[in-house]
Amino acid sequence: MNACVTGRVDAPEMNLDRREHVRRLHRQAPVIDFHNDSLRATMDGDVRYNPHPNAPPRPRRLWQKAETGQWDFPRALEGGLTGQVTNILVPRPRRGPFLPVALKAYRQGIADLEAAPHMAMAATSAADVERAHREGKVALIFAIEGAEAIEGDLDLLHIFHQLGVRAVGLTWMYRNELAEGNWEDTGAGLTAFGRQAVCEMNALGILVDVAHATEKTFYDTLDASVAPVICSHTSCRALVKHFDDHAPSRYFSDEQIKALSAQGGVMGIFFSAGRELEKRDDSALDLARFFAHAASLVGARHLGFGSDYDGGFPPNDLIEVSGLPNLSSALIDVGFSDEEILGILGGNWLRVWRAVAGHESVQPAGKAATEGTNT
Amino acid sequence: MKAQRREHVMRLHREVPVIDCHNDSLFAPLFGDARFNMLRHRPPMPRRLWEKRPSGHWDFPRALEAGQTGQVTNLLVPWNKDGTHTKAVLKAYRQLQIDVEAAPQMALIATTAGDIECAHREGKIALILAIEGAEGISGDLDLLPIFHQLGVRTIGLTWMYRNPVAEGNWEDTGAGLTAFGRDFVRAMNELRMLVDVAHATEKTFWDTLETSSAPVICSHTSCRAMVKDFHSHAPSRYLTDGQLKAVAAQGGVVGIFFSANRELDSDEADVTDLARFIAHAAGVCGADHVGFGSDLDGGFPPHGLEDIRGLPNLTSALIDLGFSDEELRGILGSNWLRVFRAVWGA
Repeated sequence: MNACVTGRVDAPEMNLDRREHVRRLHRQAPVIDFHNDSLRATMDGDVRYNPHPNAPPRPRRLWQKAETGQWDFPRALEGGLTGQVTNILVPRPRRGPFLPVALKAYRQGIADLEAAPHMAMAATSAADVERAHREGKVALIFAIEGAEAIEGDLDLLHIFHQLGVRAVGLTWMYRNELAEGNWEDTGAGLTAFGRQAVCEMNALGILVDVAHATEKTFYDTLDASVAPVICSHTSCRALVKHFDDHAPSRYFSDEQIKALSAQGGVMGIFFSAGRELEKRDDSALDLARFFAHAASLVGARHLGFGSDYDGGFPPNDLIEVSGLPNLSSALIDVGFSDEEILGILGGNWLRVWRAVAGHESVQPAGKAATEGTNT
Repeated sequence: MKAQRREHVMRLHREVPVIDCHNDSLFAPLFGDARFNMLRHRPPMPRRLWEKRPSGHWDFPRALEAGQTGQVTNLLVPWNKDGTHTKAVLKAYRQLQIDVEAAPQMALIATTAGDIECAHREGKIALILAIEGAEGISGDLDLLPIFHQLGVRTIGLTWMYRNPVAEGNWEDTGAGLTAFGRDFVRAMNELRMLVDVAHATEKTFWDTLETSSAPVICSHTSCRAMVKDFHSHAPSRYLTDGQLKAVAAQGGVVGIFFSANRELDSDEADVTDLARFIAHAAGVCGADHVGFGSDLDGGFPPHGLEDIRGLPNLTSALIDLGFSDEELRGILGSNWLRVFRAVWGA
């Protein structure tokens, strides 16, 4: 059964039975990924994934199937993906104002949704994702990575919620008004304002995301939040042989995996294994072992995808989102049951989102805010 | 006011939604009535707009008492030049939303002319969101649709100062729209947002009228021909008769702000003096192109109009000057409603 993992994206040699098995799983429930950086491609082009190094990177639109980068609507549909949490970028550290940049990134996503209503839609609830699944569309869920974007003002958190943002990563790499990020881990955690912000996110039903948090930030957040906390994209520290230029806290320790799960949270595993295992010809099967490790600690109900497409370094046969079935197949190979795989593919994300949002039917406060979003 | 006159005035206020095209009342929940603090020995305290309070000029209960319906309210762009304007505008927006959420029986946020008519039927205040100064969108056309999405329906190109779009009247050096400013006006046309030239320099004014494919308004200004003292304003803060005619010729409406003391160089000016400014404008460009642009909580209203509850006194003064009921209905609100509908498309 291992033939499926070939290390090449264009010829996944899955046998027919396996192909049918994977296809059935992808059809059964919406497949959801909780982190990508593809909005960057609409603004700056594929800076890191440009196969034509002689030509400057050019901005691309997500409704167009591109030869560069890793994620767009057509390739997501090919990969059988429905829900995609996409990241509203904050610029490099301490180069504010952050807000206009965040709003600009958001607008890029909206503009691409408006351009391709037959392929994609904005989702602000779990039910929206299920509707997109029925209609065969990609559902874009907006998230902020690095709360610099709210510029230290909780009124702006409300505005972003009205615009449709449903998850907020407290930090990106660096320290901000809320917390400390893992790049410059000095052992600091949540600030007093950070605790206030977590409470406000709980009240608004926004998912609190501890990806990129330091360990102290992580434990402080679990303590401050009354709702389950997620980690949109991380991996298992216990398996990592080489941290590259990341602090170890970028990867969850086994204790963190247990603590997050104990509070009902879900952990997204990012699609990177080569760097972590110091292995050049890494494949989806290597990545699947990270899922297996986490599942051995807390079961499969607390795991999901957090690909980091257009921001990370996925294995060869997962180099773009259309290769997603190779990962599902690898999960079968490492011994997950169908039920467990359906959870990892999307069921777990939907469950935690519903738990955090609580009252799904509640519309954003501004009447006008909803009016224009879904065009 | 005699009972019969009062009845006449309030009938007019009932017949059409009374609309005012500019106030600065969001100062109150954000900063308190810094300039209009009756209790000068105490620091200004923030006040909420759903609360009837003795300080300031405008809140929901007082506006309802005056028989008002539509209020274009300014999401304040700050004085500073440190690039935090977008944040300030969104914060002001959120503060207004908090007040509307606190008093849904008194107020709603309107994004169409139909919403204003609906508020009129239900006896509520309809708040229309405006930005005074394109600094608020950080010089980025990608942000414009976001503000439209949030409900902003009119933007004044400049406040006092020069910004990426145009030059404001405080520092009038003779400059007009920038190339980006022309793109900005066209983008507003495309989104069907109302372009406002209040505070524009003369060059900005004419450039805007030339660039815009839709009617342009001047939300709050007054008649330069009548002004005796420009105070610290450049003359371009006030429209010449030629400018009044040009706005009207393009289908726009001019809002006259509630200030007469300063302009007439007198401390005694009252609502009748103010009514004469409106009469002058109506004489120049026709009564169907004039409306209210009070600037309450940001300006210096005359005697008889100490706060919004004095609005019926102004209507009465306009009756005294000989305006017909038909003309008055236009000035009170129909003119604004007409241009809103024409530009917004609903």
